[in-house]
Amino acid sequence: MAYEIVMPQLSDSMNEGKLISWKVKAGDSVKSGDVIAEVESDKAIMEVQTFKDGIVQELKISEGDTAPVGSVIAVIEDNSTATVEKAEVKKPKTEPKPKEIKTVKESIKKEPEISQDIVEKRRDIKIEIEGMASPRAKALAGQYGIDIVTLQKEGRLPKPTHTQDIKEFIYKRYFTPKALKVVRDYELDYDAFALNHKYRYDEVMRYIEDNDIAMPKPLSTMQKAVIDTVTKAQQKPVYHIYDFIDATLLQEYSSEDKSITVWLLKIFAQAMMDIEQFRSRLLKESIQIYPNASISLAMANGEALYMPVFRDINLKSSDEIAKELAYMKQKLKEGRVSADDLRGSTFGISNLGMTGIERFDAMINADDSGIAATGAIKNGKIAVTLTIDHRLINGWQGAVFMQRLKELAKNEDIFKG
Amino acid sequence: MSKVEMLYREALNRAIDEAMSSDSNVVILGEDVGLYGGSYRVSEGLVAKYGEDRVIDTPIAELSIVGNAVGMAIGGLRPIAEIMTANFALLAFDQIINHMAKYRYMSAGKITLPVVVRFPQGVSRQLAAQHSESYEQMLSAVPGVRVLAVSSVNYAYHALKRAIFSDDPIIFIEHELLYNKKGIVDFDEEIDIFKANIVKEGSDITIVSYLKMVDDVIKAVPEIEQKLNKSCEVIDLQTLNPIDFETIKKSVEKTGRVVIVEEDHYTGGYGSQIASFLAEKLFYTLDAPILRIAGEDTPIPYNRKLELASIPTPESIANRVTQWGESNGL
Repeated sequence: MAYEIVMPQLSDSMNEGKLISWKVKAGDSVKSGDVIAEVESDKAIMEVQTFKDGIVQELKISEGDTAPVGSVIAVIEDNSTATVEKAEVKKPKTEPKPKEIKTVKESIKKEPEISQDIVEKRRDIKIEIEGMASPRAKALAGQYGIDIVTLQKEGRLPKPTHTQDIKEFIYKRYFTPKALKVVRDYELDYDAFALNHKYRYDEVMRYIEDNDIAMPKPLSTMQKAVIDTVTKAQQKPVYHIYDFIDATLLQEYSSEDKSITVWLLKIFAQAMMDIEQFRSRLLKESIQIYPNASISLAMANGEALYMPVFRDINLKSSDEIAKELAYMKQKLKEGRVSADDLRGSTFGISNLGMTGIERFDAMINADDSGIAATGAIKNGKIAVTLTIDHRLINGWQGAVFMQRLKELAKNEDIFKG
Repeated sequence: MSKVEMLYREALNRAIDEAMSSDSNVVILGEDVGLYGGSYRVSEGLVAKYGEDRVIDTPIAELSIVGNAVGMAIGGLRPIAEIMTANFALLAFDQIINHMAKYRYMSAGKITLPVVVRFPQGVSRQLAAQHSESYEQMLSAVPGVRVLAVSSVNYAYHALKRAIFSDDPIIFIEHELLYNKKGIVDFDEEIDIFKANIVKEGSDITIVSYLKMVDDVIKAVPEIEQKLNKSCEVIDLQTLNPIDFETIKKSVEKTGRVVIVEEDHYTGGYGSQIASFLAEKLFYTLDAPILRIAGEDTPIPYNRKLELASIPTPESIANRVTQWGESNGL
């Protein structure tokens, strides 16, 4: 029995995934639970496991390829008796399949009557002759003095030859491999060159510098997700509330193990428990109100910006929160943040206090009702900017929330738990 | 006011209504166009507004409907002749081809024929072989008449209004499944009714189609684009005679690959005219064999499954184009 592994859906918004690396190759035997690949969704890199024992028969896509959710990416022969020798191993296809040869003669032999079958075949007559190429490819080849017949005999051009094949040939003929890589990276057209000799890397680079050509760099899945989120945030009807909270206790109780962020999470969770609008999420026709306070926290790792979610903070002690925070940082470093880590919040915090920034405002994450931007401690105070979605929380509720934060920051009971 | 959403049949009704109110020479005649409001409700409400002298119910006699229209046109009126379906129009072919199409030529231009002959055609739902056919290939081969194939709501309004005020006879082909199609009419738009419309732009494959097949192509395009990782340009011909070769040429020079989709039978189908033009005039720009997707060479079956199997559907279009692309270097 062949067992198909499909591109998993790692988040609600994921439509396609990029295969980062294969952990197995065709012919390998695998056990249930083995990691066979790493896939990048719109949010994170995740591992793909097999749930059956067997032998990897075929890898359908190559590293770096993108495939839609639900499409087959690998096939595993799960016959427990199969051995490496027995299993028919297919490699990802690299060469075009040989074309079927059908001639007119063959398709009409024996049958004197014109059956529907023959009419069908006549529509798809296939002939293969030397120098077979599309008219457009032939015209292009003629222009550059490319001999299709000879090249096809030598197996250097496919049969039939299309325009794209001739273009590839021109690139290879006039550019060294290193130069060609640059040409590809910069998406240059060969028409820009005189094509009177083989171009070297430095010649192409000089052309790029002289003409001030920018290198196109495709957006990563992560960048696309961030762009999508902030663009959506921009469309939300928001207002801001600016105030300060007292930092005396925050400073007093913060330590190496328990950063100010831990206490901020705790204070915000308590305020969210007091005002239910901050635990709500807007759907098409209704509002969902969650029983516990789950907070998304902006965390950066190099180029990547994540908003991992710390769940049910109101039920957790500061020790537990500190542990979770440290664990998430570790995951971030190792690129192991999963789509599940990014779900389920109703409010966000972005803390740039450690950078010395005094005051800023933040963009609301995904479906959150709002976000708080917290700055550095100055004169014993921390500036807090609330950015709030007015569809869920009105100005009065926002002000009450800010008031509550100020009270809680001064309430020693909070810092006991 | 300038842009209004309406149904295809409402757009046609609006065009006739506006033409009748602006010119008292405009009349409409056909089976059930009056009290019943037209088999597809295109002439709904017109008899109450303009009376039985201008909205004329006729006997079931197609030859006489078009014959009368031709006579009215010679006498100075601007008649719109409605025929219930393309198969019934066969009875009127003598009037259409021998009379309507020829008089201007044979009278050395002294007689003009401002007639519009409207009828729906194509496969609807289980109307069987005698009520489901398409005759655009025959009619567009007749010199002296112009043939329009109306797929978009906006074009329906503008083209019918322009056709009514044209001094030459026009065959105005509608499709049975399009009457309830929704679309937006832009009343201020100035359109050339003898130009094709690029419904969707793309760079790798040109798909040429007309009438209802345009909608089916648009449904098939996302799957094709996803499977081949190429982009499709979709052209709605709109005018079958004259053909807007210029628009097709521009597109094919860009893409080098053409698919022609028609509901009509494959053999002798209208698409073969487009294929012939491509092979004759654009041979050196083609980068793949032309693909024609058409109906089977069989009378349209009554059985729903067979009926659908006999014509292109969004699924079959997507499959055929994908296969063709894969075996031709895409």
